[in-house]
Amino acid sequence: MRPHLVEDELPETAIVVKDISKHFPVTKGLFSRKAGKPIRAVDGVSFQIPRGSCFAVVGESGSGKSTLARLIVGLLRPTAGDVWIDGRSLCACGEAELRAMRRKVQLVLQDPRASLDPRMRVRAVLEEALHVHNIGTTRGERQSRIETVIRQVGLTFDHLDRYPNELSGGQRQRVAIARAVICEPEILVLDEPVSALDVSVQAQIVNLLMDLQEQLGLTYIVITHDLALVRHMADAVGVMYLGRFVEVGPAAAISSRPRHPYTQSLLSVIATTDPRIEKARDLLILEGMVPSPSSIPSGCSFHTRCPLARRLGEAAGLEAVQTPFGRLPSGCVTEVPAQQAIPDEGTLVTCHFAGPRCARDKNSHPLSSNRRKS
Amino acid sequence: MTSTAEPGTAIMSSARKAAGRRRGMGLLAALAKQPKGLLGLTIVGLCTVLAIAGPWIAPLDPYAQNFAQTLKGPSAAHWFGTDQLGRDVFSRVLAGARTSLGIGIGSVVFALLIGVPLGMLAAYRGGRLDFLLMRGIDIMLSFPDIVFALAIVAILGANTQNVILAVGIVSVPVFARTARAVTQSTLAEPYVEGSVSLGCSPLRVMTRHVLPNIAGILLTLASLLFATTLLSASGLSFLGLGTQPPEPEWGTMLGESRSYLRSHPHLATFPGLCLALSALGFNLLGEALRTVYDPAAVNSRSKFGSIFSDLIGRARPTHPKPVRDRSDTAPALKPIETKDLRIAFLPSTNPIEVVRGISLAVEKGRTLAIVGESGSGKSTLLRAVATLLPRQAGIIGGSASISGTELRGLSPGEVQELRRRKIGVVFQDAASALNPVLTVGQQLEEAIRQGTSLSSAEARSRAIALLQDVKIADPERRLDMYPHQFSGGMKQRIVIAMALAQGPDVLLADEPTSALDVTVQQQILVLLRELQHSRGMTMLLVTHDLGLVARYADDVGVMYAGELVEFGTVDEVLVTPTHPYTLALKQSSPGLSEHGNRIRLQAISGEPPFVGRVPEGCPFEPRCHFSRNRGHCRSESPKPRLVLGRKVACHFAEELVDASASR
Amino acid sequence: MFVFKRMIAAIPTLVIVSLLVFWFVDLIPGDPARIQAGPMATPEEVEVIRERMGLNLPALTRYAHFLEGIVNPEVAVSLRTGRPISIEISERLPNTLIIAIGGLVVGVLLGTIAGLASALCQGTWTDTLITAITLAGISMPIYWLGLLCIWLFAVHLGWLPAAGAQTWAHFILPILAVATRPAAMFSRLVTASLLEVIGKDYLDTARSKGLSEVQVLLRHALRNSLVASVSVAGVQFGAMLGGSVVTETVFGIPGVGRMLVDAVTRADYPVIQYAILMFAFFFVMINLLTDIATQWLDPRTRQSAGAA
Repeated sequence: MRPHLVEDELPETAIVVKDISKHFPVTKGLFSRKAGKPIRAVDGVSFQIPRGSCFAVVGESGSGKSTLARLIVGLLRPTAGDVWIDGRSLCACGEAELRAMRRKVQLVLQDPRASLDPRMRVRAVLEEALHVHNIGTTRGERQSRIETVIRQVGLTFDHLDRYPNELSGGQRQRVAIARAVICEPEILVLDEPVSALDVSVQAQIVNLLMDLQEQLGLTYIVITHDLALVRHMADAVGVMYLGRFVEVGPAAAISSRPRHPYTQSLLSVIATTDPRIEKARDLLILEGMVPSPSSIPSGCSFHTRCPLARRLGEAAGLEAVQTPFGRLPSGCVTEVPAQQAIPDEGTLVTCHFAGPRCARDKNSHPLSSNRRKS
Repeated sequence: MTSTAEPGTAIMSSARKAAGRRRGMGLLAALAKQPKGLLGLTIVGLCTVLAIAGPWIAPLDPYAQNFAQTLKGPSAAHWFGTDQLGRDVFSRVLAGARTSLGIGIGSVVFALLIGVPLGMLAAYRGGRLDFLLMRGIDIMLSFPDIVFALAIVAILGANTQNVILAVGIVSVPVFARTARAVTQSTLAEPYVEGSVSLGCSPLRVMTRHVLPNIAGILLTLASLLFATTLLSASGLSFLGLGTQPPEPEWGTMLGESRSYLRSHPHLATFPGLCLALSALGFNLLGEALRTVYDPAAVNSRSKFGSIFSDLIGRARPTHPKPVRDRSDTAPALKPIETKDLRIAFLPSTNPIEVVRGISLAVEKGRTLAIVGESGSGKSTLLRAVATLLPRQAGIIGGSASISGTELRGLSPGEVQELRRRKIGVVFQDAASALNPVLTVGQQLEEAIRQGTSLSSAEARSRAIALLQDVKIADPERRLDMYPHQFSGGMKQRIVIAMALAQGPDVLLADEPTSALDVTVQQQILVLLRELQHSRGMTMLLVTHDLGLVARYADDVGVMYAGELVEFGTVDEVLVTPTHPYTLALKQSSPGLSEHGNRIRLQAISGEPPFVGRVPEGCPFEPRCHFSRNRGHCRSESPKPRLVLGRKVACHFAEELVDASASR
Repeated sequence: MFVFKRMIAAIPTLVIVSLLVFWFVDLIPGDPARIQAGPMATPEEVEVIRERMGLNLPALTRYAHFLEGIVNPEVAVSLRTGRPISIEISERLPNTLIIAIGGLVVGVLLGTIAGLASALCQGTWTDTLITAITLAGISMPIYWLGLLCIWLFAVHLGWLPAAGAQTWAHFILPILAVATRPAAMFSRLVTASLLEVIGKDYLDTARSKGLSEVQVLLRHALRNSLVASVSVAGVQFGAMLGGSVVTETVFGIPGVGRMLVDAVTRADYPVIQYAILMFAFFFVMINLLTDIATQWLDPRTRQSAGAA
């Protein structure tokens, strides 16, 4: 199940995203003249996903992960780059073709309370999906399709005649999933699928999603802020910061040996439920907050918060400059880092100092010792 | 959001449920339930009958002049008297109904048919079309509407059709604006995005998802606007610029009556009354429709007693002072203590118990975390301890105390004193916990100076010190900034600074980080922990995240359906849970999935019970793997008892201990 | 800076408004000079009137003349009285303004008190009564209310004069009559905004600081409803200016509104044009002032406006 992050396109690849960018212009007035720099929500993201696997995009608010999800389903048109689904380019599609394409790629939104039309019964919600894509010729055929799907998502026939507000949060999310799978898609884009749910219900939905993936051979793209969930569901992960992937690769490798300081800190704040581990642990807490995507920092966009850069800036032997965020290596402030492949692990890291050359250095990172303990 | 809001949302959702089922006759029923709606419907119905049948049921010819009978007062022959030409006023009022109301309906329909599609189109297309339309509306609104209508009449000439046109054109901007605004907000709803991503065409999205959802608001507006339109149209006729005599129309009749006001006031009485009543009817109907269609309106007009009731000193359910057991409270004063605390929403009318007998105590300097899902009553518990229960909630039994001060039965002055010096509260959503129109300094200094005689300079220097304590750089400058200029994490730091203003003994934090990004969450929690240690405060932390409990709390109370199912130190409770719910929560937590990918989580089946619909016996029984349908669990609610050094409310806690020991 | 920008933005609106008002005469079906001269006039007489109205000049020149009439009294004269229109307007404007301003002040005062009472006594009979009166106030046609007031206070009781604008006593009835609607609107606004603000977390924050309920009400709740109040006050003031068309007719007050109505009935087109232009000018100015005031009162918009 290892994702192939090499350039050549393989036949079993469900989706290819190449150098995709979305910049929102800041406009004012009648003639839409550009005022100020555009907001670079997504800035050159590439990945491919093998059929039947699960790819997770992890990031904080403002990282552009939700924009990325909307680019993939074609709700937004990219500024640059393209998405290929089954070898068909989304950019080349017209509006009507895009709508037909959506049968293959379905989006499940975060808050099931808001994502279902309050005036439609569950049955109508599901029928609409069939109607839009002309699935099933007879009434009976559609009816049996609805009944199959409602059982697949763990609901009963009584739920079909209810309005969304008569369902609990977990049930609503099941309906949203049913609406997505009823038109037999190949790819599901799940935007924070469980974060609006109660803790005890989250696990049910995660299990349901994993069951459905196996039964129906679906390809998943999970958009989330929760690395713990990722370790559970995903085969591969892209960690996003200010519109770019800072680290992308197999989930197992990234969660056991994170390279990028941002990934490392995201992983370190995941708490287990064991107080003995948690009380003893040194946390790698980032300072400050995510800068606004309308004013992305120069050089490496993470340099304003990067603990590694601060440590290296203080250390001797590197050319360093003084910034409001401390003494940092000048490369971090001025040069945009390139993606570097970590051999043997299949990960790509976008950092001047976390690449293969410095791989040995990473063993002494505070985090690695912590992770041993747990 | 918080579980405090849940009984409210439960009520709201039942109202929405009614709204969801509403179709045709259902709407009439919903309207007739409100006094306003019933009265409005009656008047509007009467108006409709008059407008249709008025000219036919008029007893006399409204145009027939009789110079022998001019300006007579009301009598048996002429109920409303006669006018200057001896015409029967009653017949003219009846006949005028069709013209007056017809003008109103005509103009509203005209404005609706033009304004709504324009507004929806502008909202959907956006960009230049939207801009041009909005500027056009701005220009139209640069004229007072009656003056604009006058100008149109001046161009087209004074008659009934032109009044319809004039008043209709004047109302177009109102419809276009409203339709645009509600379409925009509906288009922003996730369910619209959902149907677009499903593959619905724009036409289908507009007709199937947007229009049904904005129809109610437009209907409301049409009803309210009809009242305005009726009055302006008749106003034009009153000025002699609308319907021309001898055509009977209420406004025209009023205009004609002016000359006879001194001697024959009855001429002005009846047409005016009809106008005012019809307008009132449509206004009432509009208000009633608004309550049906606008959930915000339902919410704000709460039925549960008066707001600010403390201010006028009544209507607040008085809490009887509990009998204090001296021997019980005297020895060690716990910073926070509750005894069999029970809280219900709407205690007087329809009590929904959300906290059902909670007894807990926190030792000085320790952090107690209350864990639970939504609806467990955890936030209500915190608000009760913070003396900030919402209006519609009340303590119905048991007691709660802060540093030995019993919270029930305190005078408003005592409550204020307690809030100032003993209690600090950190809210979930820092953005709404700060007043948007006051500077951070004003709000912070207000907290510092309450009940003290500090000068403003002293308060300011303390405010600066507080901001330094919560690690906000450049505090002098920040004091003069407004909340919206800070990020979420910074706002939460300011809220914490405010909570610390007068050195409280206890800090109550209600999900202080769940609205924040993961990396910022930890910053805030570490800050809280540091402050708590350096100031020796006792902390009550409400959260849903077991990981945070493991990391930051000393003691933990697990709440389920308003009850404390397990309560003890974190080390004991989280390492060896003795309640099946605690164990299940721990196992379903994805943070544990250290061992590998794609392993199924141990999910808890079912969902937490609805507030106010807690099952008999043990509330967790329907979801419990452990009860195995044992009758005891269903019939009898387990009482908290001591097992392995912590309090557990489970009949079979020992079995669970044995089972996990053998594993 | 923001004020300046906003004022600049009002200029195109004023220009378009003036163009519309100017264009208005051309929209009249048929020949305005013919209508003016009456059916009996000979073609020569019509031609004289056409000349006097300047209808034979090119459009641009006529527009320039029209604008010149605003500053130069000699250019724009009433067709009926032959007097300069700017002088006619300036004689009548004070009456119109006194009533509108008086109505606003009385309305805001009464409305705020009623709204506060209604919000504080939510759910009691006081609230029900105030809500009922408010609804009745909104539904009341002002021309009928005016007639009733005249009959009661002037005719029946004889306390106040019925019509005219000679003494201050003449203004009491009109001001009270026009104040009904703003009072009702304000009452609803104050109630609604208090009820809206009541569920806000920052009131709980204020309580948790130890503020008394009165302080919470004054410092946090009322202050936040000020922004909405200002814009409602602006709208109501504008509506009253427009409503002067009706009020001044009812109470027989020589104001601009009355002048406009008379001009419409007599087809005195220059007077109609300039009167409408004047109303529009006031309206644009009121909108401008309310915008500036709300921006200034609400720090959220103030900052973004300053940054933009």
